[in-house]
Amino acid sequence: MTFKIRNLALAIILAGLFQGAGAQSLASSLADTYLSQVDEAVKKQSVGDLDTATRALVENPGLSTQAKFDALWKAYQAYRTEPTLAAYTASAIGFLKPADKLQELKDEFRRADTPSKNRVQLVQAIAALYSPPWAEGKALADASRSRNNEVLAFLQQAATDKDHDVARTAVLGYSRAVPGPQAAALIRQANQQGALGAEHFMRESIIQIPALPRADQDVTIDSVLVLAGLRANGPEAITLTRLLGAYLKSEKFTGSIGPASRQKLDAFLLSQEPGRTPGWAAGAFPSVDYNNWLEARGRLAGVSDDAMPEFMLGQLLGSSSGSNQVAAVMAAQFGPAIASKVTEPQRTRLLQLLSDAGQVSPLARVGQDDLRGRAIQMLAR
Amino acid sequence: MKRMLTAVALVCTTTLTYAADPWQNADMVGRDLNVPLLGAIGHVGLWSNAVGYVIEMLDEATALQQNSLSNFKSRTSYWGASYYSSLMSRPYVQVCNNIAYCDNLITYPPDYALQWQASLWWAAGATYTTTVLFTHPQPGGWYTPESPPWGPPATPIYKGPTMGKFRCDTFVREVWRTGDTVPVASFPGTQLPNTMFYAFSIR
Repeated sequence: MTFKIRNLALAIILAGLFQGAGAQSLASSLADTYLSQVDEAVKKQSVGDLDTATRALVENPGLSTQAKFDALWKAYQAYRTEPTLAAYTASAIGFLKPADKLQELKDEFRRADTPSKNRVQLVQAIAALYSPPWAEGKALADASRSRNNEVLAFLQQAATDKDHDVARTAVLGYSRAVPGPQAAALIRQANQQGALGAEHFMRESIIQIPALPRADQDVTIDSVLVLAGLRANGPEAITLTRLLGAYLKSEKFTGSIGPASRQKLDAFLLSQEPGRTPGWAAGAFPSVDYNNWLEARGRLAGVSDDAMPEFMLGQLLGSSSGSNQVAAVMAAQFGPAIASKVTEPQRTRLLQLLSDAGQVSPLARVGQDDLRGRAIQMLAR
Repeated sequence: MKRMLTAVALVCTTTLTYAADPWQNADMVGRDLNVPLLGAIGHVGLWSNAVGYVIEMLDEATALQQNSLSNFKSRTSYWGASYYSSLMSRPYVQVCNNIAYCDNLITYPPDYALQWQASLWWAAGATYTTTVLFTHPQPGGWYTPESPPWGPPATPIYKGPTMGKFRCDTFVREVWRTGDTVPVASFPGTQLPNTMFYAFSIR
């Protein structure tokens, strides 16, 4: 493929040298060059060439956001009915975060003939224009606040779109921008309409928890527990166990949850021990999930960082633990603290558990044995 | 008889091109995938032995998924597993302890650190892009807004984790790049699933 890199470089240099009307025509030539590169890449069926041209454009610090947007927008317009290419160029626009192009993006989203895949990428590009209050390190300027309000209003509306892919994308954008009661309500509504799917519903609901008043927290937690309980040991229960482990292991996160909901969450986790209850993948032990699960159970019981090694050690010395459980915990955050605190009889017991070959799956092979070997090394010191 | 021997030889040759299973944390697994208009670039995911799943970016409603190896292998023709041969001689790596609030960096052996990072990113979630551009997920936390000089100090406000944005190959690459575990020079100049898979050692 003749890739016209020389032409692009020339356009880039000249675009940096000239201002005003001259710059405008050069930006237009830059857009033409990029479009010809897209055409060539399509002819050759080459994602690699398309990637090279797109990176050269988007990551060039000498070009204005306006010039980059114009080039991507021209290519988007040329391929707006070709789902792969339209999604590609619209997605690249999302990375640009062109703050003053909100209206163009909204107009394109609202066109009656804009395909679904394009609309999904346009929602993502619009959601990316939201400026989080912490991002600028000071109070947001009026223009940013006003744009934020416009973005959130758009996302709220798009969250009710009949196209589930669009609705889901809008809910995710809103949920991450401003966690809280309004986001929780949008998540529930989209879920009732079947737009979210179990995993998104559970993840987004959990993320809202610290930003919710106690009553809303309880409703949210109840709803994810009900969903996970619909099929005993089904994929939803496994996914929820993983997500709860990942989030509840944070002391500050779990500290925001009231006692009644904590009790329900712990009852759920107790019924879903990773690697032991049915539904977990056969042939490998979910070490990360087990460690997270145990930490989360500690946090739900109000265990602090200082007391966590003792809590985890107590659980490991319980009758149901084996080499996999000990290896998983020793490999993670509190492993070194446990190794330094164990009494001699406790050390002997843990080493005994680790040497229990019957607990190691024959399919787990070296990776699993590595964890066990490391745990033995830590405890043997 | 000669024909029969040739047939047997062919069967043996075919058997020798066995696509191996992954077995170490953070092995890369690959399979065929054709992207309409843009060619047969393939698809890659990350094997997490410490979870027992392939973590992979797909252009589906849930983009970042944990699937069983048999699921991965059943979708299209399976390539096998590849790995960075110097992985276990790389230094230990610091990774966030959790995605809700990164209040501690924990030091892990390189293979475990990579798959830990992949699990953290799965918990944060990600959206799919067909482009080679990407963004990493970021942990959540609490921030204190600027308070007016005459008022009481502002109350910290919760922010959730941000989602990442990846293609299948950029997800694997960015996990492997955690803490510079796999040096950038090890990756192919043209970043695609198939070029990346075959740029490393094959199991």
